[in-house]
Amino acid sequence: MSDQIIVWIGKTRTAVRRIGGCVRRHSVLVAVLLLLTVLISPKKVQGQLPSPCCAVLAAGLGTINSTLGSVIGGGLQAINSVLSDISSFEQTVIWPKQAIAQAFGMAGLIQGFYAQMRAIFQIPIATATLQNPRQLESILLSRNAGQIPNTTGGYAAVYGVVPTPQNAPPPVRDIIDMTDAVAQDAMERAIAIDAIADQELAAADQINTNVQSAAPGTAPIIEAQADAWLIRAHAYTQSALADLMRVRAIDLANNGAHLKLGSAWAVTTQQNITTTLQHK
Amino acid sequence: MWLFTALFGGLMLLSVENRRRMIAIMLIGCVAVLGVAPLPAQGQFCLPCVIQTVLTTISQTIGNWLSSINGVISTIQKLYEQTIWPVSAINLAKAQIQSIIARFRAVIQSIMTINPHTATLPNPVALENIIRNRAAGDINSVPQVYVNTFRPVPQVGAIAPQDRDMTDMDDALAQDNLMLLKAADQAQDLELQAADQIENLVGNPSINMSAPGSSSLITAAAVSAEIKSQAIMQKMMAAMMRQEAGRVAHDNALRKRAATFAGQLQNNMTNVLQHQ
Repeated sequence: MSDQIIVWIGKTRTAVRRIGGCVRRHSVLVAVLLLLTVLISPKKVQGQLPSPCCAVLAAGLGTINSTLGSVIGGGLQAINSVLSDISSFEQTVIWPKQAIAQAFGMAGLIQGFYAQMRAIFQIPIATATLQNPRQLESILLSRNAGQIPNTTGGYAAVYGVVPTPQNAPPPVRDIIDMTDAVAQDAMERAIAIDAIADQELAAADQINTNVQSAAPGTAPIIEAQADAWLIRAHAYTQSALADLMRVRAIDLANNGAHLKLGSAWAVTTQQNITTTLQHK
Repeated sequence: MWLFTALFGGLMLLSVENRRRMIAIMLIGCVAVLGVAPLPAQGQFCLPCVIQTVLTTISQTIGNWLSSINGVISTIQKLYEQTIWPVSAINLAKAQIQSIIARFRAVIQSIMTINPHTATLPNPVALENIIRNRAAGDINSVPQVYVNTFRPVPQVGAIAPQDRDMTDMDDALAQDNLMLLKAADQAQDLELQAADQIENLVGNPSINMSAPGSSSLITAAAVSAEIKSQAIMQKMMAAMMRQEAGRVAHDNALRKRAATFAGQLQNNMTNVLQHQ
């Protein structure tokens, strides 16, 4: 047995020496073969069997999923809950549909009231019986600004004109002319104010109609316009009041002038009588 | 890689006597070693790290943002429910409206029911009744009742023509205004009804009848009613202006006549004195 081993060892040594000699002789060829072996040998690839990397990925995605559910889902749910509460509050407390419908109904009701008033104010009220007064009255009640220029003629036909210089002294003529002027001005302004009032009624009707087609959010816009109209209406009312005050002021001035002229005439008359008596 | 390096190293040792061969083997060995050398690892790519980053982004960044949004919305909700439109304040406002209605409306209405009638004779009583009945239905009866009290315009020949005209004009302006005031009285009653209705609605305890959001519509409608009320006031002012202007014009006409008479008297007296 040991002899056989010694023989095998000897043979192996011989073979190794031969191979070594062969390799030494063809070392470049061997090197090339090794290179080719390197190049054609299969590379390590990722098989279809689960790898530790996939497990980590799966675990990570699972965690992401649960985090999405708890963090984002929970957060969104909380937001949704609050928004739902706000929505419910707005729909039941702030802007209930029934209350909005009631408000529209009120706008319609108000329009109905004012339609009645408008009809009442359309009833003709002219009552003059004679020609000149009737003509002047028709101008004054016309509610038509186009009739304003006709006031002077109608006024003169009823109340006369300023006396001629032969018939009245200058101070009296001045007073008469001023008084006529303020009376005519007031009559003309009354026609204008009536016409304006009609326009305002029509505009207010239109605004009321607009309210009935508005939404709670847009109603303040319409209200702002209505406020502007209200300011305008107040201005016209003040304008009418101003003309009325002018008439009253001239009336008062006439009373004062009456006293002034009366006292002057009294002095003149006294002097004339004294002169006449002295001549006699 | 180490195996191939050892093999090529061995080959180089075997070829140590031949320098050129050794260099060739070395070059081939280098190429082979480079071929089997592992690619540089992606040192910065770390899946758990990436997942952890995503989780951190979700739980901290997005989660915090959602918490912030939720906080803001909750604050808005609190603002709505506790500061801007607290239900208690809405109910309080309505209760206050009801309180004002209960306190003032009946008193004012009872005051306005006092309708003075002080005429004693039949014709004035009839006129007083018709001009104070706050109804427009009998508006056309005013002229006749007026004439019964103040008498008609004198016939031709019974009065100077200008006086006749002025008398008729005075009567017309007075009657026109009395008739207009009947219309205005009725309009005022309708305005009062409208005001009552508006007040009743806004003070209604039911949230389905009156709510903060519906009051803007009611306010807009009420402002349009104010414009109309102002227009009616202007009509009354215009009537008063006509009346005042007519009165001043009448006085002025008398002044004109007086001046004319005075001038004529002066002329006549001068003539008389000259004849003497």
